[in-house]
Amino acid sequence: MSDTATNRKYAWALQTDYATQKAIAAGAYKQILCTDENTIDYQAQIGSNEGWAHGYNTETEEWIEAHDARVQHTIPGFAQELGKVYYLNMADTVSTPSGGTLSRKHTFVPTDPTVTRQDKAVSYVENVGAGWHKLMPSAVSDGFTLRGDGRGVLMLDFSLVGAGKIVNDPAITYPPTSTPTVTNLSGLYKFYNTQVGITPNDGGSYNTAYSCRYRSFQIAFRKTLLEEAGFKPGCANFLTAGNPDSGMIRSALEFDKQSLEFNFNVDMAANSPEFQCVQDQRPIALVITASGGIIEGAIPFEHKVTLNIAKYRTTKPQLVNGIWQFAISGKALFDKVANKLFQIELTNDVVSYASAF
Amino acid sequence: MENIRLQIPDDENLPNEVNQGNHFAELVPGGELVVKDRAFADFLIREFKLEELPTTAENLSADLSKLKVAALVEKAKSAGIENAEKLKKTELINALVSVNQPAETDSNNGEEE
Repeated sequence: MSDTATNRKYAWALQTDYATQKAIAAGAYKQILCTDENTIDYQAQIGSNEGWAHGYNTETEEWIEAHDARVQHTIPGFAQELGKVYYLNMADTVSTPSGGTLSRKHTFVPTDPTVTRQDKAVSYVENVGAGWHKLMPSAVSDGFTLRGDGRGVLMLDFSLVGAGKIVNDPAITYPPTSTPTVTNLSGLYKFYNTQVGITPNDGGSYNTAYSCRYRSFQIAFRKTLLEEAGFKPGCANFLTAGNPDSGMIRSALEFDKQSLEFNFNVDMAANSPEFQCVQDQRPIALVITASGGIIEGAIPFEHKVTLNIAKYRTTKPQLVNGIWQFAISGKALFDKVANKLFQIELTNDVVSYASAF
Repeated sequence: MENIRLQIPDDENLPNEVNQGNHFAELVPGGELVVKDRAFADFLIREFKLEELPTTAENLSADLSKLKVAALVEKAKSAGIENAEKLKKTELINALVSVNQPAETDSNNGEEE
């Protein structure tokens, strides 16, 4: 029987530290409900003696020095699932909203590099049938892109960079097997682009919510990972423990720089106020909010991105769906007073991401 | 790794939990927290006003007893304890505890009442 797109399945589980793979047990891994058809991109990094001073034509020897593996996915903007990607990429502070018992407000900010440069890692599994059944431990995320467009659901792109190790045919089982390793998701709440609002504020006259002028947005949080430095010869960490011939795998994967870029489209307004912001290079506070259904009492699911200091880099007219809009792009600057680049406040019904996946 | 004891303020407005990378802390108002990473402890002190508690002889002794003799000897040498190699484990622990405990001071720091 052939395997088709509907056979594909993915899951992950949070590790306690970078090195320790999540143990395989019933319910230990949680489904990743993604929209793409991507699979692990694995590469063996090889060395050879091709250019060595043999003195005559000699058989070339080739060997494995290291392994590398990564994967990209896109997930819909579920209020519960967005937080998992943020949790891997950022620091989370959890509080209970006033009057709430089931609801939690998660405040994510970029990880403080004075505390650690090693963000959380997951053990990641994927399966497209009997021919491709793999486990990639120690996978770290290098950022994410959140986007909303038109009438659709918000979408989140992210990638995972592994230590290099791939486990073939792990003892992972998926539903509908009885007592599977992977638990499927349920009770999810979607954010639509129709729930999004953007409010700019330059401290002066440019401080009105875009309201009906709003069309689409995208924020991209990027972390440069110290991928090569993660291969530490002194750790003697190999694909097969104790066997240098099997090739190195990473012992750590820390981040170097963090940055956030954004762009959004709005209908044009008289006198091009956004163009003025670019021309003046004016610092602007930007708040991107999506608020929706009720969790309990008067507490809604909510997603709020705050960029304390943003500067527009370009503003140009763009013809979209037959009308002229402004395509605005820019970058968030680090706010010394607030001591952060940006923050995401996510209110949902996930009590703690430490135990959510 | 050392055990760093922190006093959590009795403040209901504190978050329920905090993390940075793989460091994780549940904040129970008025409770006590033990963390093993100095940078994370400093972060909690800075951001959430936790207070570091002094290391008591009992705690220190318990931590040291988990170490092997070789590690204790190294610690003892760096603490300036003489003839560390010749001491038994319990003697090493007692010596390290005694050099790490600050002398008791007057509670009013010598100020006039």
